[in-house]
Amino acid sequence: MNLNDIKKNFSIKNILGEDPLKIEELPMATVPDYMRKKGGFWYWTGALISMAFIYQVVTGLILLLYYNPANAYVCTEYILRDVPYGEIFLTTHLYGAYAMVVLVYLHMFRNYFNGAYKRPRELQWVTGVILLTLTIGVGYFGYSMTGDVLSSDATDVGRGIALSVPLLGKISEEIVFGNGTNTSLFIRMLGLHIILAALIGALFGFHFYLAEANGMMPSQRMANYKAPAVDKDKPEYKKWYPYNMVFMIQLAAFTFGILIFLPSVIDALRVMHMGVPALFDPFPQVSSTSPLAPYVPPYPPWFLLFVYKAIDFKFFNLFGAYSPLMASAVFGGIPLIYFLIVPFIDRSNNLHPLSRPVFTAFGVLAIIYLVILSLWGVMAPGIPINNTGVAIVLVPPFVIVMGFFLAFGHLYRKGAFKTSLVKLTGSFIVFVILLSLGIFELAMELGNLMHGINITNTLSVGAYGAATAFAAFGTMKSSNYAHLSMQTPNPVKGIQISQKSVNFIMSILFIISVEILWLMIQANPTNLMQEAGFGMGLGALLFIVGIGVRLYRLAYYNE
Amino acid sequence: MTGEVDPSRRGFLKTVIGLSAVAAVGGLGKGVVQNLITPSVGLTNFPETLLYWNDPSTPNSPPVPLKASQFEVESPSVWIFYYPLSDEPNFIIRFSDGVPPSSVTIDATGANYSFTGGVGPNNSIVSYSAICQHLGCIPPIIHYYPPSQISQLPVNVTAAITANKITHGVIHCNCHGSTYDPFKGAGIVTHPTQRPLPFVTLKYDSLTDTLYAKKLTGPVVFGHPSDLTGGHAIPNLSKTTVTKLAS
Repeated sequence: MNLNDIKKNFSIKNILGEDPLKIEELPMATVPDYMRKKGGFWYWTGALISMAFIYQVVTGLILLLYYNPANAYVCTEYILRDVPYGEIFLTTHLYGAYAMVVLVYLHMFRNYFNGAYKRPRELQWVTGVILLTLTIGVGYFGYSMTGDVLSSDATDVGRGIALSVPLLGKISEEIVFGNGTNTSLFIRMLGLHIILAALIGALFGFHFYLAEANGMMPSQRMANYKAPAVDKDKPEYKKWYPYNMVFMIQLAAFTFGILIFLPSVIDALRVMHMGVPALFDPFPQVSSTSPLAPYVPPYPPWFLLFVYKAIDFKFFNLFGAYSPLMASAVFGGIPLIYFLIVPFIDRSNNLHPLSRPVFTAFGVLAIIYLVILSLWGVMAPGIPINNTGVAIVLVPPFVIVMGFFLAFGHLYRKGAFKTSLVKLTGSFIVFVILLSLGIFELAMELGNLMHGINITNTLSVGAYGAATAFAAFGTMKSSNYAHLSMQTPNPVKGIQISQKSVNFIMSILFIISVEILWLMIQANPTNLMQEAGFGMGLGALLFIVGIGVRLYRLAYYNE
Repeated sequence: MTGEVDPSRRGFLKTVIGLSAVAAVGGLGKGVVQNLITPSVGLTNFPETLLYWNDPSTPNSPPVPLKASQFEVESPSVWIFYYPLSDEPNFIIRFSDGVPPSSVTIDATGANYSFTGGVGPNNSIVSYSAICQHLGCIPPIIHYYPPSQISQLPVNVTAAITANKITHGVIHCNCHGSTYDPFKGAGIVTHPTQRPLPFVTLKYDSLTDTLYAKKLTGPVVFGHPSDLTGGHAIPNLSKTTVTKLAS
């Protein structure tokens, strides 16, 4: 028997049969090329979330082996300083959570503007919105587990909101936060953190099943801008295995690489005291019983800043004891309910964002309000805002955005322009960031103006007004350019590379990775700085693997 | 990127990517495995620790250094102190005669080590780990039986005592019947234990009539990775209290 016979006898095909995972039978056993090309990133936001989630589960279970609810702060410091590589596990778990929250929002808004909530994916959308709330919840409980002063501020606020629930206040407070002792509190935080994570896992399974059953949503152009956007396997589509699997490996290597590399860089900056903002500090603050505790500004986790600012609105004082609850209900509950039911309100079969301008405008407004309220929370924490101030900040975006989309929706219906989704989404992001910053600053300056008009604030109102107008105009133009570039398709030649040079590049990268590994082995696993170095090295190794797979796809799959 | 694929070039690229992946997984594996091993707690050196007690003659006064000459000879009570870790109890026994140095055999390995004998007035005070070397039972299940209590022991133990001409009592564990001879370095009298009890080296200060624990010698204290690790150090390394368990 020669080597080839052995290979043949022990091949997977021979032992488990043809296609043992039944991949060929799944609705989308093939994946169109454009989803793996430049800009194809937007088709894989869900995959990125699942990778971040897997990373969170693994690091979380490892941290669980060291967590001690009876002594939360001491054990957090112990994990950070005394457990080998504890710093890496603790801080990448924190930043992994941040990444997950950001990616969940990204995934949601991407699919919102894409009309992915429409037929036949309504249930997929609804489970997705529930998954968003679970993710924020799991983040809140995780943030509350460290026992530092910020975590105790967060649990105090949570307690306050829970207590103000009519009738069920006391019961819900005790169910969530325990009987008032610290041990009971942290056992609850740990338990709920894990319970919510398990719920995410279970619901994600369902969400993913639906995604498989409905198939990936094709690009809007492929779907002719009409729901139901379902794709069928086409002969020109490449098979999932090996083409897309290799792509997934590349994506995973880069995702895990970033999830480990970035926090390690921030850790290193933090150890060197190089200006990491308190809101994004990777390390726990002082203990809540420390004499220094009052000097730590009481920020909530950044992903809850928007509700935190809303509580400052004087408007909610009308509700007396219920004011924090009302603020959370208005700025957390109403958007949540809107997103939950939007697939059942927007029943049209139009997919293009401009063909359903009101809904698109609501989505853009949700982003703008999220950004404005969060920034406001950072810049003016705890400062009460009167009704005029609230109106000045929140009404102009509504008028501008609604007007903008209604006008452009009208033009679109008349067939004035068609834009590519990817570019439209890209310009939305630019639009959102610039415009929300502009509007926020404009509103602040208008607020100043109301205290007394002088040359400075008149000029700044003018300047910010101009900047805001520019941001809006720029977005308009950019979508117009996107439209033009679509009209005259310019076939871009892909990067070409010979198989020989790929081997050469990868050999060099491999030698570098051996050196990185050697350096990593030298690092002291309980030294904060050297651990950060270890993390950066590990991230770099994963990047090298990702680059290798990318080169392989380039040279052999022509992708 | 021509249409032709050179299989050996392709194989080479696959191998190099695979090796880079091995490097990444190796680095990750090192981190995970080292992280999963709980950092050890304990001490790095044996401290020199003064033995304290509540003097039984003045029960309500605060603890004072233990006076060796006032310690009861062949006491029927169980006297223990924790050293060097807070989960490592040790017996302290005073005999009526001086305890000579002797050689102790570890049945498990056949190796020998030397026991340095007693200290204190008359060289009659000894101290041993109070954790049974068989399966880790602790006082009062394992304790010292002075000659007056030998008759309480099972027949096979009394037979072994007679056969070995033991006259100063034994340390016996009631869990599974292991017996040690405290006059001869806590060497094995009856199995099932395969190892003798480690002894505590005591230092006697004849000027003040006080005792210091200095180190442990012999087999490693049962259930510990080493005598100095596997538990938290006693709260105050400079003194430890000798207490009497209900017997």
